[in-house]
Amino acid sequence: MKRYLNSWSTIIIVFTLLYFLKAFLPAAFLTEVAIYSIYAMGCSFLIGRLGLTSFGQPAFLAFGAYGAGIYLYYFGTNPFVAILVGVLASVVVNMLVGLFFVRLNSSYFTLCNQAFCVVTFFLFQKALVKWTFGDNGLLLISRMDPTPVIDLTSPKGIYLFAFIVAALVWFFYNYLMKRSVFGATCLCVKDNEQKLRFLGYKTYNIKWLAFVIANTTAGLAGALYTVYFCMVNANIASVSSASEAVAISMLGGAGTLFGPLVGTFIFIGLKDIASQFIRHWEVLVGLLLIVVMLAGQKGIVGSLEGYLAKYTAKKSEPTPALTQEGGV
Amino acid sequence: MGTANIVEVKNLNSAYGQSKVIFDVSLQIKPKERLSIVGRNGAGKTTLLKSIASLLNPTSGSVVYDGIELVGKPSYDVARMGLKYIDQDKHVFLDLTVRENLELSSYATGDYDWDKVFKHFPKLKILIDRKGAFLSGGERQMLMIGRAILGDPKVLLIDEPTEGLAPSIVDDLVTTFHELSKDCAIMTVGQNLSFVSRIAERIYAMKEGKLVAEITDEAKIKDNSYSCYL
Amino acid sequence: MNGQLLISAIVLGLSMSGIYFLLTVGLSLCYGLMRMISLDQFFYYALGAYMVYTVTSLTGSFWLGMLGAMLTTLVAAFVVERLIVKRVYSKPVMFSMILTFGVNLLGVGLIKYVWGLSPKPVASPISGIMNIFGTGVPIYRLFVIVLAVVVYLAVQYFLNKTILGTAIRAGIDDAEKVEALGININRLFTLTFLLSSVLSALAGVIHAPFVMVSPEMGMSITAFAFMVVIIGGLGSIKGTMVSALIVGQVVSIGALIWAPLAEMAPFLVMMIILLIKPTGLYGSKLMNR
Ligand SMILES: Nc1ncnc2c1ncn2[C@@H]1O[C@H](COP(=O)(O)OP(=O)(O)OP(=O)(O)O)[C@@H](O)[C@H]1O
Ligand SMILES: [Mg+2]
Repeated sequence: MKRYLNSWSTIIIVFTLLYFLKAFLPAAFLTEVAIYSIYAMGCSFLIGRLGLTSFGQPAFLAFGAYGAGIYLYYFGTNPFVAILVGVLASVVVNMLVGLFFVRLNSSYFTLCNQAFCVVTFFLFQKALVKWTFGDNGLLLISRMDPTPVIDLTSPKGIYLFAFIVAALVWFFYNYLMKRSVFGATCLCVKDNEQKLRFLGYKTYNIKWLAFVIANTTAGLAGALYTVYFCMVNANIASVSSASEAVAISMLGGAGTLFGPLVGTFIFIGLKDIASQFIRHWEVLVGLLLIVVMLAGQKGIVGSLEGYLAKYTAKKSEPTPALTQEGGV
Repeated sequence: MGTANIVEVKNLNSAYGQSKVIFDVSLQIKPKERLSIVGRNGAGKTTLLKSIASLLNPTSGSVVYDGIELVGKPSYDVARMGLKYIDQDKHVFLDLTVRENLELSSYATGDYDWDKVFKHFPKLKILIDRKGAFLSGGERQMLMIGRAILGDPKVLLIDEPTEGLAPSIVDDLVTTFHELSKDCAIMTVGQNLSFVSRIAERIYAMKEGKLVAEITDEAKIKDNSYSCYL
Repeated sequence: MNGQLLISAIVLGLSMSGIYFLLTVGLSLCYGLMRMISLDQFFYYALGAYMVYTVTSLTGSFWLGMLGAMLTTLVAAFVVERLIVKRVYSKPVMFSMILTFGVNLLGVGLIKYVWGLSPKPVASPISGIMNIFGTGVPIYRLFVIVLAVVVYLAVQYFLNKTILGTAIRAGIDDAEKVEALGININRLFTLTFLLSSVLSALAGVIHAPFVMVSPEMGMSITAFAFMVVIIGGLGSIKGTMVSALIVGQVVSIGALIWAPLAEMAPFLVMMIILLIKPTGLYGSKLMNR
């Protein structure tokens, strides 16, 4: 049952359904869900599969976003290339930053990440203001050329593209978490890093690679954002949204395949609805974090999987258990 | 059973998460007796002692001490009531001096009469201002027992007291344990059979989380015939 | 570089060090004893600043405001501890980080409801200027430095000379064994948490006259606070003090050279120190547990 739930066809079905949900829900909302869930996926992977909590994810979002933005502003006009440049910029930064960060234990990792987020914000807002225009940001409207096949400058095109990319990201993470040796090793790092090191594994290398993969996913989301919104400013790295990726991960279920998607859908939906009634949205995010953590920190998908596993286990072996009980 | 038991353990089960370690253990400790539990590494001796002292929550069963049910009570209450557990890793607080270690115990129990500690372990008086980090293994063991006897406990659960100690110090411990048992029951856990033969009046053998034998016969204790259970 | 500017930068740096120290000593203690990262300290910091604003504008006395702020925070922290934080003590660090971050967000949101978004000014209670080597230095800054030193000494005295402090040091070493001695460790946890919160509030109170009190002030100081605890090493009071001194100077002298350096420079220092020692200057082996 569980395997079926996680299989490739499920991914296709889920994203196709989501794609055609635009008949009922605003396309802007769905596009944002698609892009933001990519971002959340990286964070969820770090928490659930590596045991590293990062309140600094906006920083990694920002490097991808600025990579794409700076390319479009100064060098070229093709949004596809811009996204590629954003991802590459993000890879380079993550590889460098990762060298420092993965050697830290999990508490230091969290604190350093948030500090890094603040520093990144000031980097784009103040230090590089000559090129990034700080809070005003890079305005990219009419700087992108229409592209063949899928036209990223049209809302319809970017909508479709966001879903294709999201589905691809899900394929990738499905492989990573369920099929690959690397994914399994990551879980071991989370459970008992010391032991793994005694066994001769270079846990730093494993963590480094996982760090780069997860945060490049965030960078990809950032690049998509730039193209989608036709602009990027320093606020993308603002710490005030630092908790959102973590909140989404915990809400959906950290480390589960569909957790980030479910989490993002509910989170952004809630945000859109609640912001009409509530002035200060962080009250809700805070409450959400507290409730999810106190409720057992498994998240929605995590709990569902738990129930499913129990249900299938009960169904498959009722007789032997009964006979044993009766025999005693 | 002539005299009332000071500790009565009934059908105790304990587990770490999913893995069960202690299975249906029942045992009794009589006042002022010297009791030993022997068993291989990983038999679950430490787990059993910690479960009795409420440092671990048993999954089921009961531990009655002096007429009071201990299961579910916080471990500091259990210690204050006079049932104390002494760890096997000889860990005194490294950053604290001997004096501070004793002060803590006095603070916990309200018993500031350190003379009885120095009566059993005169050496602690000399070492009083030394930090835990700079004590030898034997000195640490003295301190651990010394600070435990403040508050006049009725039961001491001592995990592997001889582990890593020189033979001469082990001799001292034998004398000390005989002295201490004039005031309280002592249950030790260990694999050092010669030590066990010299102190124990009664022995339980433990295997894979279960008590498999009880040896009360003095001759059998003396000639180590219970070693077959190891 | 101008000598006068340098002197006033050093003094400003020292007073910032004092504020950083007050704010982070609690984080460090909580980590040492409870193995938790208490991110809600930043809420108590902001709450302290707002309370001093409110009480000062009502009564006209900053000192009453200071008292009021610390008492209010004590109550708030006690409620949070009873309802939420006490559930995380035995859990892995990640748990406490996310949960207390939630508390922090909730708290900041509530502050916005109560006090609104517009920044509030708090006048400095000591207005004189003192002449140091020909440079005019506000006496209030010197007061902040002295206050931080007094708190440092008091904390050291508490930890080393009182029985509760001894118990806390023992608990930092091994909490289970403190319990095995018969000491109610949960009460120590509560005490440490409340002490930390009150010190965080005090940091907010004395920082208020330097800045405008705003809901985001907790957020904007987090990065510096984290750099301080990381450079010093989580769990070490002395390390926290030394690293607060370093960060304070790096921030204020860095800003003198090039404004964006105020944020960048301490981060670079932190990176370099972590390269050499991944547990910070005074972080010990116990951090691996
Ligand atoms: N914290 C723990 N988590 C999970 N399993 C544990 C834990 N501590 C012990 N165990 C397991 O419980 C079993 C019993 O351990 P225990 O320490 O009680 O044995 P022991 O008899 O005291 O051994 P030794 O003579 O080596 O001290 C062992 O299989 C051990 O692996
Ligand atoms: Mg043992």
